[in-house]
Amino acid sequence: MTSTDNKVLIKVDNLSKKFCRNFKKSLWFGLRDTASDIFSINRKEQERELSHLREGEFWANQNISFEVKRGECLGLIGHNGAGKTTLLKMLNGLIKPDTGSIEMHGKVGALIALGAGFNPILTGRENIYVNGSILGLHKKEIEGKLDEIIEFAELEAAIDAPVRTYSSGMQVRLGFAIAAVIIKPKILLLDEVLAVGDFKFRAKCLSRVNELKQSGTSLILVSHIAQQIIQNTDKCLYLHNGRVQALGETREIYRLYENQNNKYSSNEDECAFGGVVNSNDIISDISFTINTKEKKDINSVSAFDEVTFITNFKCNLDCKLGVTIIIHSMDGDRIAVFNNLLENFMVKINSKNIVLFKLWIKSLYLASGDYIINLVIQNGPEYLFRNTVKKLNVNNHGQEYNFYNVGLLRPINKWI
Amino acid sequence: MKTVYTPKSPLKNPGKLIGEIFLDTWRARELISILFMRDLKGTYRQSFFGYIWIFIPPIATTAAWFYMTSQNLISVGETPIPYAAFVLIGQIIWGAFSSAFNAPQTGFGSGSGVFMKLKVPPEAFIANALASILFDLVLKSFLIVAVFIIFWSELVVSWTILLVPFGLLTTMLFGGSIGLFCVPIGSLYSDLGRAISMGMPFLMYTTPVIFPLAEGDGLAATLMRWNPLSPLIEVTRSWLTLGTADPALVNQLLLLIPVSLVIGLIGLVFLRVAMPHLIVRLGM
Repeated sequence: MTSTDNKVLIKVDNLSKKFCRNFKKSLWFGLRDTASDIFSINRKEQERELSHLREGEFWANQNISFEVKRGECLGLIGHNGAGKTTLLKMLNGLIKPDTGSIEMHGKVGALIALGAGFNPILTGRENIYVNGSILGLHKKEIEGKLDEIIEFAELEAAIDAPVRTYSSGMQVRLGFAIAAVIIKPKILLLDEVLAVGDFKFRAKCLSRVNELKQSGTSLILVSHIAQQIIQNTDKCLYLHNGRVQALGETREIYRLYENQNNKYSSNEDECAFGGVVNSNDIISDISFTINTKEKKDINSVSAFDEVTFITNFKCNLDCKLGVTIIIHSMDGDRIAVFNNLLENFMVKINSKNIVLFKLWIKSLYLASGDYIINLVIQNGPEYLFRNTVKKLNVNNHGQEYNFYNVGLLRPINKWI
Repeated sequence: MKTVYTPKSPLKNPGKLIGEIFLDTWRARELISILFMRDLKGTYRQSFFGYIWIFIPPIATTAAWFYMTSQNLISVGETPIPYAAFVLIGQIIWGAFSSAFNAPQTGFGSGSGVFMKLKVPPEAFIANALASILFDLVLKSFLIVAVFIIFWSELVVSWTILLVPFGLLTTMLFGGSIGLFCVPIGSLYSDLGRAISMGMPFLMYTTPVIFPLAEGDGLAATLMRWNPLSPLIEVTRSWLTLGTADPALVNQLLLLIPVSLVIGLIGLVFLRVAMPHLIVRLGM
């Protein structure tokens, strides 16, 4: 490998951008900034004004610095409103930074607005020309790639029908196909576009992106899908409130993001994966503990531990209780559901209105990672209680918490 | 190829900025033609009468004014040519101005969904809008042929007809330049658009479109004298129908060309400078 192979293609230095949430004020600032760009002779004065917040403004991006080398992929993660799109727009040269600078070496392409400029009345074929041309391609080049685009989009049958008769999935597929087939940039910006279409189409899109990466294109990928970030990015930039929360190797940063993610969303009004129900006058004093054979009241188990979930609460209503315990993955998938009524187990309420029951599980067979346990208590169809009662950590010896090798399950196995 | 983005105003290097504007527009020539075809096909594909709709507005306005004057509901005074021909031709020239004036804002608006996501020269969408109105104008000139057939005995066919396209293009250039100049503010604040749509009819009544050029020292005459549109409409119509035009007005028309070019260039530069600020306000 020569030294040019590691050339930095994107260099962002101390980048900041301020926005104003009040629309009227924002318009006024827009006018003032434009006027200051036109008339301002005193550059020092202008710089000073740019680096300070005016009334009602906030930093949408603040002091962001990073580099991306040739063939490298940087993942951009963070919650909604963390400033990812703002950063991407500055990288694309659509909006201007207020402080700092961006250096881009090579042609920049963006897979951001799929199907830009589509006219719904025109046919898919006609719109390929419009969109391709907006993406900066010549007519002849589009002509040469027409068949490839149509094949990629899997729209052979519908290509001469007006785009307005397409389903939204078909429209996005066409948009992606055009961009994917014709864009050959040195630097590619991707904003959540890989989330479209069915599984097969997504796989095709990803392999196209990987081809570009192999050929030396630098990528910046915004996605909320863990798997995409983990499989495709080398580094991650974690933005929080417009600032760099962390920057580094993907596995580390993503793990940090997920942990924080959990912390930020622990809002009292909502539990993971469902609204909180808590009729305090009926159900109260809930306790949920996990025991193994050896230890009591623990939060961390291994895949093959024998575990017992112990639920204990006060119930002021004499009724036939339905109790459900659900184990969720952090992505929100239901992994296991246990319901007493389905298994013909009666939950008893004693004379002091106390309910106590246990659920014994031979082995969870779960892969290493964090899981959420939700408890639902029902009187017939009526919800008396629904909330997260435990965050369970599964820690399997010899199976590090690592996105590359962890699925959902850890069956008993043997290599022979 | 190295691109650098900083907070600096692009006007710090005006020569480079102007060069970029023209280079980008030149590179976007295919895009302009594709957008033009897109809009042309899109507009009339869902219409039964199709292109006939281009002719209907000036005919309708002419019919209304012809009705009002022929029934003596209002009096506009003596016109040098039959009134119906006067109004229809005036309408067409006025239309060249008003549609060219609106085109930059319309074109910019039609592309705003793209601008906020992709780096595309806004001039391409503006040029597309101007091309569309030029196309309409060419079609409308068939109406002028019809006027000559109807009033052949009362109109003069002279070599000055060859100057008419020049007059129309100057009118469009003037309208388009002022329109371009208004795009940055018009895109930020809707107030400008409202004020313009309210002011346009008034401007038309102080231009010799429906009324002949007023004489004397009255308010109407003063307004028409100072109205930069008067020479454009009056001279172009005279070239078309009378075979001659007032030399003083012709000079005014010629003066409008450099004035328009300067306004237009400033408009282009302002738009480029305002662009990143506009995109922030267009939405994320």
